[in-house]
Amino acid sequence: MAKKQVLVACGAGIATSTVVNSAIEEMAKENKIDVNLIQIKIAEVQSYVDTADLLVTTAMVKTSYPFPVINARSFLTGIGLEETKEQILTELKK
Amino acid sequence: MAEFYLGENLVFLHMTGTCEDILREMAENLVKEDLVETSFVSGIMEREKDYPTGLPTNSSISVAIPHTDIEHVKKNAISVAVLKEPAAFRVMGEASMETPVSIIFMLAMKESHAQLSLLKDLMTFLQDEGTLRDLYDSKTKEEVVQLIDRKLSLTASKGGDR
Repeated sequence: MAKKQVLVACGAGIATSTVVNSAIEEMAKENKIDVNLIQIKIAEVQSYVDTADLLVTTAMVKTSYPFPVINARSFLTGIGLEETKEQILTELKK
Repeated sequence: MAEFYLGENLVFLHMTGTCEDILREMAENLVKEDLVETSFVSGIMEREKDYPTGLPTNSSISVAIPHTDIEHVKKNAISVAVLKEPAAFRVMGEASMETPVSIIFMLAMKESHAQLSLLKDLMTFLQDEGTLRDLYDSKTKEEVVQLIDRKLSLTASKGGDR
């Protein structure tokens, strides 16, 4: 299985994406999935449009991308976290 | 690990006003305390407009975590406000949703990706209704500082020690 490139983005690329990035890292490790995580600002997503497999973000997404986008607010609030994790795992295992 | 400054001079109790009023007052206070650049104020305001930070929680107390780019920051710090009446903040990641925010953690961060333990603690904090309630019910700024100091990994940032 090819290593997936996963973008983790928030508005500033420093706060909430750090939390989400670490959570996905742990999740991938637990499930023995090798993943290439890239933590960026949402404004930088465009540069990865040709290579990324998935975008996980706490920010609003106004553009449409050729890869799936998963909202990651639940990593911060805990509300709906299991569903979000499930969604991400499904994408990583594709 | 990165150190974060929190002192009573960064705590606001019974604050009132709109989202914009409150963010401006908190940000200008950080400028006054020489922890951030003057540009931090507009940085915070613009960031909140483009990428809102309101977070509904499991409890009736919603939280906001406004922050902005690292170049506006001189020293890592966290400013806390407890509002008298909730102020409407837009919800992170949702274009049209608002949430009534009662507690604000304004983060001044000067390195990217370096504050994982603080951020994780902060998320644990806002997922814990009891702790949020304790913070909301704080009577003095000292209580706020003590509570947050106990719950977050601020390391050597005891009030007044910079």
